[in-house]
Amino acid sequence: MHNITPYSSPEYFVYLAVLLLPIMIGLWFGKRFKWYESIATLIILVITFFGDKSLQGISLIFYILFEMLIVFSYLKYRRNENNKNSFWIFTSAVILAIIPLAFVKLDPLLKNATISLFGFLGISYLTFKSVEMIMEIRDGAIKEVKVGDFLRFILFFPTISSGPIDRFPRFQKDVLKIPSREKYMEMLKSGTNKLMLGLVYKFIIGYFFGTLLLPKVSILALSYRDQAPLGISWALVAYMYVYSMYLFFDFAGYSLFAVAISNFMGVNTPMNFKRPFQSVNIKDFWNRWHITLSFWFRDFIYMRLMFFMMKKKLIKNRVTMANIGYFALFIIMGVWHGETWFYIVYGLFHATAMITNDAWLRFKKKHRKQIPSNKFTKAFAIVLTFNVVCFSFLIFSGFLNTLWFQ
Amino acid sequence: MKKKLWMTFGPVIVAAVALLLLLWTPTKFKTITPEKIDQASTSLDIRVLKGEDVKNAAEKENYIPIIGSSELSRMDPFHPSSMAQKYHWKNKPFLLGNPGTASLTQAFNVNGMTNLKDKKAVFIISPQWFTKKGVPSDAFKYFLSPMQLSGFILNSNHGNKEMNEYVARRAIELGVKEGPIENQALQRIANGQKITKTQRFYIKHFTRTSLQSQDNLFGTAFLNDHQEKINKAASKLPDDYDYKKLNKLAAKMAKKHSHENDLQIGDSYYKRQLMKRIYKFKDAHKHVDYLHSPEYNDFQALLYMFKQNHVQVMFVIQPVNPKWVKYTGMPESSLLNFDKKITYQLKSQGFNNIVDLTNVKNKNYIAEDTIHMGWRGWLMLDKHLKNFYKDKNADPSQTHYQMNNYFLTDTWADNTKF
Repeated sequence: MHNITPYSSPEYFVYLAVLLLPIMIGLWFGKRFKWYESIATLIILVITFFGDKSLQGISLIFYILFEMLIVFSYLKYRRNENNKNSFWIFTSAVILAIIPLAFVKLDPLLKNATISLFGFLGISYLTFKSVEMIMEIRDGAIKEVKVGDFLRFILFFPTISSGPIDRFPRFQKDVLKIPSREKYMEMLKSGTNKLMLGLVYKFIIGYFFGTLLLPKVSILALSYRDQAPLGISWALVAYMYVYSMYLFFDFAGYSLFAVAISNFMGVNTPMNFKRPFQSVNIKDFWNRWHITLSFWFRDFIYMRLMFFMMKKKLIKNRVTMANIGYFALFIIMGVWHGETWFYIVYGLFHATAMITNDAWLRFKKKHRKQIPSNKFTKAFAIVLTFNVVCFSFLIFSGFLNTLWFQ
Repeated sequence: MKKKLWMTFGPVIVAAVALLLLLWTPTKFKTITPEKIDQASTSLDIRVLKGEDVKNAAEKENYIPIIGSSELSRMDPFHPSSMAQKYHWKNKPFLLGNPGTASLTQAFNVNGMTNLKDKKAVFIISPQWFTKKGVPSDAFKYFLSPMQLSGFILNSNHGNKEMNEYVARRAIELGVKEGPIENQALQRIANGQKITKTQRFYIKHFTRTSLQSQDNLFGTAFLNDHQEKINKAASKLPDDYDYKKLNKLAAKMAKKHSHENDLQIGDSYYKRQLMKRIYKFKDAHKHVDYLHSPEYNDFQALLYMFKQNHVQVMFVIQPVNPKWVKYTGMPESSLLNFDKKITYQLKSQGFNNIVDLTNVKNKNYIAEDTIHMGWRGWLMLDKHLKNFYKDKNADPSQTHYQMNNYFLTDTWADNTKF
């Protein structure tokens, strides 16, 4: 046996269908079989992590134990009314929770394969969830967590490998109640639609762009590398668009699967994409692209940083503060993607785009009368945003690294 | 509510059942027409190489395969496909080979061409395959066809046992991973055991049936089309076939196409691949050696596949651009020694039909670029093909091959005395 990456092969869908059927029948008749859901989760985890060598699976177990220790210790600390809400204890808890992920991400940089004890598929997403819990425990939004609830939330299998990133209080609301038959029918219907749309996205359109077209334009672009400075060619432009389409349809397709399977289990996992290529500006784009991730970064990094700077009165100017926030957010996002120059540049590029966009919006507000706003300007804005985004994906793809340095 | 439930899941269930029927029942659609075969014969599409349907259909029509690698895409007027079209050869070439295909890929390919039995084929050998490390694992995996692999596994109780063991071992070594059951079966063959009944059942009725249906449905849809290119190439040829005149024409055309450099390398190729870093190649091949390579063993596996089907094969040893040899400082002996070694492997086992373009006298414009034959090179080959292509059936007296398993050993792979 080998590990099966979720939603990547027909077999996986067959396993899913078989495992989901009892859960769905249960919900149809107004019952949630908690014990069965645990067994199904266990089976999926085994298929995903214990197929090959069990290294990934063992890492997962240790990782979960480690995160559990931190979250519950911090919860205990917060529930004791004698304790102050100490900033340093909070910070330590967050740092500790991130350490396994940091090791995994730093590993390629250090070229030392031994330290990433915690390497397994989807570690980022589990870490996002754990950190979110710690943050909301601090805020008092989460007051009580049972071990079973924690495990069910963290290991919720439809979203285990790449999100969408749900939030604990929202998730709890769904799993603690059973939808009425009418409501569940609606969920089944919307889940089925998403599942089918996901199949079209990932296995037809994504396959077309990623597997059929991408290698061809890649070879073409590489063959022109010596013709012009920086290897710029029309083929490179083609690569940029083809890669962008592949990235969207592959990931959006995957996300649709995750939401669809959640729906079948009576959980309304939030959507990850909302027609991102119709965005009118870059800020709009981040509200539509990988939404749960960008909202996570917004709520738990950007906003926190803003409050921190305001409270400590570090910077007076609101614009400067926002700009610093953008840089922090996007550099962290870049670093999270991986320790290569192109991910960092990707982050810097988006930070710059956000800042430029804000400046433009301020300018527009001041000169509202002089600047036209109609169908054409909107179309122009969409086209411009689309191209800026595609260019950022070209950086993100790492193809420039191959083109220039290999 | 029940109606709603059916309206939601009904279409999905119907679609799933339809898909199962499509993939796992022996319904065959007539996707392969003579026009499709014609398109496939010059398309060089990877699906043609990896598939079986269209090739086996072509064997029933007037096609003789030319099996090789990247040179096949050098479609100048003297390319066999262009010549066959212009001068109305009775049989037409069916091209099978891409940049990166070498002996083992083609061994699987030939093994899958069941209708090649008692027919003819042409095989073009490139000296550059015979490197110290042999075929790169990535290239092999990229071109490996799951369907041809399943065919090999199911056939493994026939034929030469040592050869089957060798092929299975080599496939594993090169990192082939198809599915747990296929991997186990392959491992058993490599260990010299027979595959189990369960493995046979699963691979035959589950894996292979579905792959065959897929090949039938999608194997020839939206193929690359090189017909325009061939038409354009053929239109540049004179109406009457006269070797001497064509020879002059080839040199003239080649000269025109390579006037921007003095290495007789086609201009577009030179511009795209070499111009900026040509200096890097100066004397870069001084220590090139084609005598120690696992490719010799892979090549032996290929020979077995031809032998099993009694195929009458014409082997072509591809020339290298002489100016390129000089520029890169490649020792003359490296090519000559390779030539000797491969010829020995062929002739000692009864594969006597060899068109050796390594040692021709006038080698000007024998290649299209650096290591790919073209122009005069194609023309020299065409002269031999012209007769070979008159009849597609093998002459039984020419297929008495005597195989020798010594050629599957490391000793032979590294041998320098022959």
